Amino acid sequence: MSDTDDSTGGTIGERLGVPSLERAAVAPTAEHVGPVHRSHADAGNPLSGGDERDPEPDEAKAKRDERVVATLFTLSGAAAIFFVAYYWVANLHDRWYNQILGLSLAVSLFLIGIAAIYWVKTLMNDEEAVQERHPLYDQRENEVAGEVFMAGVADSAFLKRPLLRRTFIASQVPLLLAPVVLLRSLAPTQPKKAFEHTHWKPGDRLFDAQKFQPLQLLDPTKGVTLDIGGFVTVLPESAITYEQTTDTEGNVIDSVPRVDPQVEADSVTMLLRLDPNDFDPNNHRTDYRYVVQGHVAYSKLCTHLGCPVSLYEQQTHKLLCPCHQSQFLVTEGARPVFGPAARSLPQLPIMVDEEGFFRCVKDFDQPVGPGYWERT
Amino acid sequence: MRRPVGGVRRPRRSRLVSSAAFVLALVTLGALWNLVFPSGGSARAATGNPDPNNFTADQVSEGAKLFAEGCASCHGSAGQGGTQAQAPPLIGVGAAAADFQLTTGRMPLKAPAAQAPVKPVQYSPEQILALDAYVASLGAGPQIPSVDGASGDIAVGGQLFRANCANCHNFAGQGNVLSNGKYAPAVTPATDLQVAEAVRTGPESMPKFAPTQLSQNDVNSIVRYIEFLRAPKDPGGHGLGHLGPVPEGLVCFLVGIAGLAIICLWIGERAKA
Repeated sequence: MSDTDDSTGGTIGERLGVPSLERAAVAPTAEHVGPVHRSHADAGNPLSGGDERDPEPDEAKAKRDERVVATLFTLSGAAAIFFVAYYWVANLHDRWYNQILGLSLAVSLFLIGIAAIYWVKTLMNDEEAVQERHPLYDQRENEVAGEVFMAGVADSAFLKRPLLRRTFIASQVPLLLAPVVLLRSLAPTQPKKAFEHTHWKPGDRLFDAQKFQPLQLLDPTKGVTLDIGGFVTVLPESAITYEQTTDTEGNVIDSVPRVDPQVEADSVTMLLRLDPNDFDPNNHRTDYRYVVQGHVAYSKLCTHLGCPVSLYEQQTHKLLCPCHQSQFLVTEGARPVFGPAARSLPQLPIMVDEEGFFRCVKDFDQPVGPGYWERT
Repeated sequence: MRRPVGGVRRPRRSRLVSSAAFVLALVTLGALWNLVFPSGGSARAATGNPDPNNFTADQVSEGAKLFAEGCASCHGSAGQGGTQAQAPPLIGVGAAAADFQLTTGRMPLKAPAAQAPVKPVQYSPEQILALDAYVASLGAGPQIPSVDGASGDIAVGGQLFRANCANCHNFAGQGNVLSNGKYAPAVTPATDLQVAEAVRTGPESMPKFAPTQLSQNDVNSIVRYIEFLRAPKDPGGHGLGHLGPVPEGLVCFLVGIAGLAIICLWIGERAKA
């Protein structure tokens, strides 16, 4: 190895093409500006870039360059004006509306950039400046700071007087606890109560969440009925309110249904209709008291993270969650058979009244949706 | 400081820059290919039969022959269903189910699989109607529906589509995966009639939507919306398969960020040279 070093000569840095520190750190002074011969080793130094320029600029050429830059700026401004004008004038639904807007803005910005580069390259002086960096670490400063600190400690008698020291530390512990205690305010006031119940009340009729019509078993003229293999998203009757518009005489002229998002958030449920023979008779999860002629209702909120479990495979009787691919088997009490969900979907107790309307018997017997800290 | 005349110049394009340029060229080529040869959207013409459910006895007997040849080996000699779960009984599925399966080429099935794929149609339109007639004669079921997209309301159709169909078929009708190798196919290649048949019969994994749940007008509106989905306005210029914000973000990232990175590298290379 030493033989090779001797034969090439110079420092390792020079042979690798790294400019030596002294050369890179030379600050440009008055005598450095102007033609200076540099070795070929400098060619790889990114600091030494720059175009060759006439040291004595030609005023006529400078005028030409100035006009070029001015033209570019003008065009950029024109493109920006076009952008603003097109935004107001053109029809939003035109086929190329977005593209033309984007293109005009891009042209405007691009021309500013080109103009700036042209300006720098032609009209400004090609001068290199090197700013020296401070040393990153100063051992002496550190020592002085340490001495000052220790002098302060000695002066305070913190080490000499143990009573003072101990009471000081004891007073700080509760103070550190104060912000931890404040975290409690970030939680709901009564999380357990709020999550335990939904808005389903005994006797609530099941309403189609899309068509705002009640679910019917017997009479299709009175509401929505399902075929075997069908399913529908339902909400409690109370979730739907009607925003009524009245004329001057107080007659209702328009009535627009609205869904209360607070109710929808926890009460959204799916009513499915299966062939009654498809239920697995050996499963203990399905509550058959609340299965009416193959109709069964489950919460639509995934027990993993609360996504709407709305993909239903009617042949395999699986409900799929689109977020993390949990699968729930409806014929076995909607127990999870695949994916990250660990708990079955809660079953909503339902019944049919003498008129054939589906009604809620009572609220879910367990919290719906994902688990939380007080969920047992 | 000035560079000496005739100084050492490095090649403008390093290996990194040229490989990045190659990747960019590939992406651009792919995008152009999609622009020039867009896939999908070829709707087949609906069978032009004035009353498709008015079957004659001849059609039923002709269908019975075809059924014995092509269908009975799996579905049973009288359509009572096979031993496998994949060959369900055809009693009571109705002409609509048979018509959907046959006009999309799903039936006859080539080989058992997680799901019947769409294939070239195996029977002539007359043969399909004969088979429909035979299946309808096995037991009462959904008739071949009539559908009129032009009378539908596209806004209502969009709402109904997002509430009932988009769960599985994606909001732009491009389809999505289901469990165990099954999938919800794209709805845009299906004809209006096939869409209506699928809604009423619930083929394979799909739930069944009775007329008491989605009315005839609702189906017309959904069909109208699907007609829109076949050629939606793409404000960005290209739909990117209408798969949503993820591929759009990916393209922004690859083309935009990578393009900017390549330009930065190029500027750096120039400065060094």
